[in-house]
Formats: sequence, structure tokens, C-alpha cells
Amino acid sequence: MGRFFKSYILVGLLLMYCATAMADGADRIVQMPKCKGTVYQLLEKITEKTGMMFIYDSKIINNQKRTEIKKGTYSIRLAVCEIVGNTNLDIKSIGNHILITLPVTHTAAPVRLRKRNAMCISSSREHCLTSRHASRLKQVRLAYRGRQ
Amino acid sequence: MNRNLYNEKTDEAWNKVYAKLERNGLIEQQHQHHAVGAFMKWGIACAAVLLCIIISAVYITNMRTPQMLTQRNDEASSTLVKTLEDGSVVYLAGNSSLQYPVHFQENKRNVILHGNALFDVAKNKTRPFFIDTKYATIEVVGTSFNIKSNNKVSFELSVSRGKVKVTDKKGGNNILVSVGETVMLSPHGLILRQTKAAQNGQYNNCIRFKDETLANIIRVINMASTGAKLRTVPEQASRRLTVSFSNDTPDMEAVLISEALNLRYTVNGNVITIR
Repeated sequence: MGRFFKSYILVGLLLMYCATAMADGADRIVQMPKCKGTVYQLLEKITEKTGMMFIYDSKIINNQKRTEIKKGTYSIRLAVCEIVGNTNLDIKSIGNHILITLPVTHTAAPVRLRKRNAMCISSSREHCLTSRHASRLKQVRLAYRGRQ
Repeated sequence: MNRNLYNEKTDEAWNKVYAKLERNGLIEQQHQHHAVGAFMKWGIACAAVLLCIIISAVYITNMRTPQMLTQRNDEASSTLVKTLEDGSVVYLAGNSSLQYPVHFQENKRNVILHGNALFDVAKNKTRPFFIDTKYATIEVVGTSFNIKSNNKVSFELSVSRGKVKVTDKKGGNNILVSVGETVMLSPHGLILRQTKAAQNGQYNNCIRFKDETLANIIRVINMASTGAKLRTVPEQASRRLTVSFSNDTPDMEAVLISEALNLRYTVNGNVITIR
């Protein structure tokens, strides 16, 4: 019985390890103490705790803005949103960097409306295919179509 | 005729009145009052002029003393890189701070350093570069050198390019430091010796840029890189970025910068152009 229980624990731990390893760097868990300071200082705190470094256009984040974060367990993504005070950000990891950008805006593509499907809507979105090493491979356009 | 007589009598009467007033000292008092009034007027005028002079002096002093900004690096394990207005690059070590003006003065460039930093000063013979530390003042024309001035080391400076003049604030002695030399501050004054190990390496392991222009970031990356060189186009040069790099390859740096600023990059031999 004990042996059986031990193997369950081992499998559980293995699964947890795999899940952590496969997760995006931005989903890594970070334990944050309660702290106040500028946005830059608090993001520095995340770097200190996780080793993940940030990269972002200074136009989208005000480094000097004073902010605070409550003590707790956060994913890096959530901690960044809390610190910056903006949930409308694209946060992803490239190597040991956390890239913060504004979400890609949807552009409406012209579509021929059919009588039968007058309420049909369409949108398209630019995507970049990236290799394992994060280098850009190809720019593609995906179109979405459906009934409203 | 009668009218003249009448006027004479009036004058006589007035003279008598004045004589009486004078006897009683009333005329005298009136003179004093006038004198005090005049004195007051001159006093007010002088005070106004003095006030104008003081206000002008304060204004001119403020105009001449440039507004100082502070860059602080609280993270001990990384280097914060700051490119100053004149193109000089300061690699600020952990737990150090640098005070610098928004615009340098016409005849000199002054900064204040607390802690350790590596300076790569842009050459300008007409505007010498002065660094004020707790124990010494450093004068440079155009060179690269490392300064240690923290709790462990009171003052130490190593030159990797050019020449630097160091003045001991306490003793007033100065010494010229050349390439490969290190000057230290001892209780007996400044001591010159040969530099034991290269000082620059420690600053390039993990470098951080805060709200820095793309042109300045690329310049610093290229200074440290022996491999591929990064370039950008003038239209993108002034875009500002906040980023940290830790021993990343130029290719990886190009990928990250392009992604962050939504740009593309092209590779042409040993040159990666971000546009």
C-alpha cells in the first residue's frame, strides 16, 4: 500500500515538473512580498526573483509611475498586469526575456455579403510564425468568419 | 490804489502768521515731516532696486546651475547603462547612483557619482568632463576608465583609454593616470600602481537600459560585441526601449528589439539592420 502511494506521489511530482517545464515563461509562478515603488522598481523585483528579464517599448509602460503590489503568489503575467495597472497587454516569453507589447489590433477585411448570410462578419489578423529560437519565419494573415 | 494797499496788508498779516508759526517751531516741524517723507520715498526706491537685483541674481544663478537628474541602480547583480547628452556612456554598477544635468554647461560637463561606475567619455577638448565623488574629483577630456568609490573602497580609478587627472579633495594633491594604471586613495594620499586585471568585463555581463533610445542601445551593444554589429534606420533611432540583456548574442538582441518595437530586421553578412 505504501509502495503504491509512493509511486502515485512520484508520478504526481513528475507531472507537475512537466507542466512547469512546458508552461510559457510568463506563466511561471512568483511569490511577491507587499511592495511599493515605481513600475520599473517592481518589475525589477520580478527579475530578481525569477531571473526573467523584461523588454518593452517605453511608450507603452510608464516606468516612473508609482504603484504597489499586494503580498501573494502570482504568475509573472498577472504580476505584470497588477504592477502596470493594465490588463490589456500581450505578455509572452522569448528565452529568458518577458516581452510586453500592446495586443495586435484587428483589421476588418472587405467581405462580399451574401443575401442568405447578410449578418456574416469577418476580421483578419496578422500573425508571425516564429521558430524555436524565436526568429521570425513568415508573416501570415488569418481570416475569421462567422455569423453574429 | 486801494487794492494795492489791501494786498500789502494781507501780506503783512501772513508774514506775521508765519513769524508766529516759526517762533512756535511749527514751520520747522513741517520741514522735518517733508524730510522724513522724502527719506521714506528714497528708502522704498532703494529697496525695490535691491529686490530687483536679488531676484535677477537668483534667476541667473538658477539659469546657470543646470537641473540635475538622478539615475540609481538598486539591483546589485546588473549594470544600468546610461548614455548622456554628449554621447558619453556610463555603466553604473549595482547600489550606485549618478547625478547628471539634462543639458551640460557650455564650458564643462559635470556629473556626481556615488558608488562604482565605468565611464566612456566622449572626446571634447573644449568641454572637459568632471566627475565629483566623495573623496576625489576627476577631470577628463575623452577616455574610458573605471571608478570604485563605495563602502569597501574609499576611492579607486583604473584607466583603460586616454588620460585622467585625479584630485584628492582632502589633500588637494593631483595625479595624472594613464592607460593600464590605477590610482588609489590611502591615508597618505593618492597612490599610483599598475592595473592588476581588466575592469570592464564585470559591467558587460548583465546590462540594463531604462527608457533609452534605440540608437544609444545599439551603440552600447556594438561597443561590447566582437561579433555581428547592429544597425538601425534614422526613423527608428529615437524610439525608446526598456530592456535587460544578459550575455545575449547580437542575433537574439535583434529579435527581441524587433519584437518589442514591432520592427523587422535583415541580416547582411556581419550587419543586422533593424528597420
